[in-house]
Amino acid sequence: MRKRILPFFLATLLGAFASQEAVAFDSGISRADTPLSPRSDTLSSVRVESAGRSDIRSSAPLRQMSRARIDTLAQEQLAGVLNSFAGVSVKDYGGRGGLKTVDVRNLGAAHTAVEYDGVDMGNMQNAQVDISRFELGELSVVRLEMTGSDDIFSSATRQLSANVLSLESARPLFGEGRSFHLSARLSAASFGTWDPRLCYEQRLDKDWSMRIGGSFLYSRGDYPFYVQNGNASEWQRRAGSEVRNGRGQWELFGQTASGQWLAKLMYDQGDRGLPGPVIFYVQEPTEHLWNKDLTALVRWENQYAERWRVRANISYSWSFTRYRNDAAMLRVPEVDNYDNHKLALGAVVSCRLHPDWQLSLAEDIILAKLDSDMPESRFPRRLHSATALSGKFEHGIWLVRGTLGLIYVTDKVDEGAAAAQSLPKRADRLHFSPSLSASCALAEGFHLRGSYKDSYRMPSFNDLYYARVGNPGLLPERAHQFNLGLTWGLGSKTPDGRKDAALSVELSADGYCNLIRDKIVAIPKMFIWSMRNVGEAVAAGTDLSLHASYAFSPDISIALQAKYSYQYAVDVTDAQSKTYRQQLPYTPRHTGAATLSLLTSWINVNYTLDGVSERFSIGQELPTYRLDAYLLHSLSLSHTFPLRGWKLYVAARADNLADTQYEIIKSYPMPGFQWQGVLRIIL
Amino acid sequence: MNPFSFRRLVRHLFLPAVLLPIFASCNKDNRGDTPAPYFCEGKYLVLNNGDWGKNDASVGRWQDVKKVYYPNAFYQTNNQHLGDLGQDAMVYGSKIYIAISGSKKIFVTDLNLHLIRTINSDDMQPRQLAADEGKVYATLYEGYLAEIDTTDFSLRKTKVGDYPEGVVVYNEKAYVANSGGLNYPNYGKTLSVVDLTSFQEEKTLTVKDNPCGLWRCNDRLYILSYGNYADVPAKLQVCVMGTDYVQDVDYASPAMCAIYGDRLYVLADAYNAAGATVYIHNAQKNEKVGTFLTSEAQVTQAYSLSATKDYLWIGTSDYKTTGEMLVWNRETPARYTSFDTAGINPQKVIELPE
Repeated sequence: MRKRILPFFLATLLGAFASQEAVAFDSGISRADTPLSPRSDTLSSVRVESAGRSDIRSSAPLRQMSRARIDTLAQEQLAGVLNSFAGVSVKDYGGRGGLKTVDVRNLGAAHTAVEYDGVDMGNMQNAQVDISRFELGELSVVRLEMTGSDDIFSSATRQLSANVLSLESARPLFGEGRSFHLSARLSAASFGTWDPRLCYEQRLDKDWSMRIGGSFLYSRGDYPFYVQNGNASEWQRRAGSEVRNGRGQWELFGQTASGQWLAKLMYDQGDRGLPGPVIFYVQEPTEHLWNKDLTALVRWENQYAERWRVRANISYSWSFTRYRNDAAMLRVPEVDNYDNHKLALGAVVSCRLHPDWQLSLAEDIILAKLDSDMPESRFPRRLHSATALSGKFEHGIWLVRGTLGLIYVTDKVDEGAAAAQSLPKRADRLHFSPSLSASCALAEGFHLRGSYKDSYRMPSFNDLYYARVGNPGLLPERAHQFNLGLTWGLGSKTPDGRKDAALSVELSADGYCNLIRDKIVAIPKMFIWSMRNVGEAVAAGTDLSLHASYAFSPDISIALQAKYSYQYAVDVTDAQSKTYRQQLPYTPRHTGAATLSLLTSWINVNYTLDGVSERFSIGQELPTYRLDAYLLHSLSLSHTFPLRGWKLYVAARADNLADTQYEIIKSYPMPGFQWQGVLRIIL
Repeated sequence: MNPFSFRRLVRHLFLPAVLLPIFASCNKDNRGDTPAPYFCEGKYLVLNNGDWGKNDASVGRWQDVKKVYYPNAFYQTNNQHLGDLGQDAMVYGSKIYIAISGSKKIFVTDLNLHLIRTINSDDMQPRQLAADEGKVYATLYEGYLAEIDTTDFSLRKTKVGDYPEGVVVYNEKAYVANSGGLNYPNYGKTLSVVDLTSFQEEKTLTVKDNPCGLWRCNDRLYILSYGNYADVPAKLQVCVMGTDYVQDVDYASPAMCAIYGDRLYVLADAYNAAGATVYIHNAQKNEKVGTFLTSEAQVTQAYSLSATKDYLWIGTSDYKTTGEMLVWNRETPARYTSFDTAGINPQKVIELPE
């Protein structure tokens, strides 16, 4: 039966379970992870607190996890971290090398911007970011902001995207008498997976330091899975799922009297098999993907006269992809090469007019082009400009933040036929994107928050110009997001971030409603599909998030991190259609996860439950297309041995203890039971 | 169909799981049990192509007098799925042959859909079926024509052109449409003529770009070529088998055809927002007879056309939801009924003998 949209107030009164971020005890390496944190030379167990950002006080939902917590949980995959965030789901195609995209509140992967150290990792070609490419070991903070960011001193892209996933690596911190750090990770996991990592940090002089690191991943990926086909059901091993990937990065950090510098170079090269969907009675994967990605970034920040802050950055990305299909039915193997180039210039200026008022202006200019050797390629070039004018007011119990955004996009394409097609009027590619959010502190640790955001998703190069399918007249997708939430925090914090109470609880409950218009959908037209703006969807639901911890003694504490989401997301495009008011594909009504941790000075033990209710792979709720509900059990252990002058971090995890056979995307089975062991030596 | 209610989730999953982690194996083997014998009746079988990668090819059975549809009849009868992409189905000699292209299999069943044999089609993708003199012929997308002996189900194949689709057998010869579909933008332009005694391709005939559909009435062969979807339009042609002469048949935007006896039905303007038109063509004399349906019938999203003794069938699809089968009485072009085919992309309707 179709449920009505839960009134948001009812949902929040259900016992708000909300949460902020990391838990009490710190058992791993700590790094201050804010760009402008005061220079600290103490390598101690300083709590990782990201410039005081907390979900409780944010005017819009904020989910984050710090390095310390990631280490405690023995979490080695970015997808694992994101799955613990309320309102977030990772669409996973299986295996280490399988495509993984981040979907927040059913807006789709294209509405979640991914920023790595301020560089937008987005891809103009298909508007999706494959998060399986990122190495969690490089990151100190993983943060996801929905409906905007309270940090208005941030890039225009971050402020104007519907949701932003921020990945940050921290500047090195050196203790007294230390001038370098070396860390080596050895890791082995099931299905022939090895991913070692080496990282070296060096203090060059009192203001400058550098970091250089590299990691390598190899995974055979031949996990067993069960094919459900009545009498013909059988166990098989996933073939064609191997992945080899190497990453290297070099970073230079500088501190000046009133500012700082960052220069960064990242290179990623790899190849992976694309196993494709599991087809009954055959398993012959023949597709392969190679990638080479280079990113260079220079960022500068400065503070003027207590009042002005400026940040500017320039970055260049080159992304090469080669796809190959050796299927027997092709006369010649299909080989397609794609070259994406992107130059981005960004700047933010913020002015504190008054202790309560802050104003900022941010601009991002991106020049991107796509070259490819596919037949009928159009070689698009794009100029994308995003401007955000934001204001923030904080006084007493109130925090109010507003943004006026302007997005301008203009494309140029080659190839006679496409150029002759009428390109849309300029006005179609110029959009205003306002947002407003507020948080109000009520009594007894409660905060009430509400936000509205209007955001756009520009059509990707594939949407617009892919041979035959592309439609240059596409409008951007529009999303109107409304959020109303109640948060509650218990356990005060001292200025240096330590909790002084044994019990700390953070709960947040948010009710939301998103209206998506002009959804870009592929429409068939006599064997040839075409992209059109024909979709309209309504997504409403509740996200509950809880972080709680209780310290029995300085040596022992327990922590609970839990999330639950209810989603009612339906298609409202055409009242005559069979999908009208039916749940959108791959959208479960219920999603929940809980991790119970026992943190001691001797060992940390974490047990996780992850449950997703049934979904359908098409827009009709029919038994043939039903994907079963599933519940996953995981166990992880971690401990850091503090030795003389160095540390040894040991962790082990076992995922899917019950060997549950499940799928997130139809016909892409996920691994059953798998384990991972990690050894990290930190000098 | 009942989605998980919150209460059920808490009661069944969270509480017992948190209190007592049980390593329960969830859904591994609960589909392996044999269901009760399945009842279905009806003279007509509907083949659903399914959506690529979803293993949802299916066959449904329809009783035209009671207007009752039995969905997923193959799975219900045999407790196993057909697989991915149901391409063609054919009745020959008291058996039904179903070509499943994505799963590279041809299933042979009796007239009640009980599975007799699974033919491996030599690890290749079967596309269209034809039959003559105790042999079943299947085009294999990898560029071959397969011949299957209906007594021992042995298979042999011979090379034809690229990406063959339609096949027709007449007078010891097989005619195969070499679409060249995956060579885009250089589509194929030939038919292969295979001598069935030597089982070798003996010659090719030149036709229009991207030939796919073949229909036969005695020695008249009709060829539908789809063009290149851009500047080269779709074209219907006719050839008298035995001669090399191919001539155009004048219909604008032909999209699909179906034949029964000497009646060739041509559906044109399949994606016209106003509605498609179906013409009647005398296949023996090669002359236009009249119009069966005009755009007044408001048939948009036509996906397939089939003709049986009593009815004309148009399967409609939006490629994402289950298809709708529209049924007309062939004698009096009166709309008889329509029904949901419980599968994506209704591909074809075949009639079972009494």
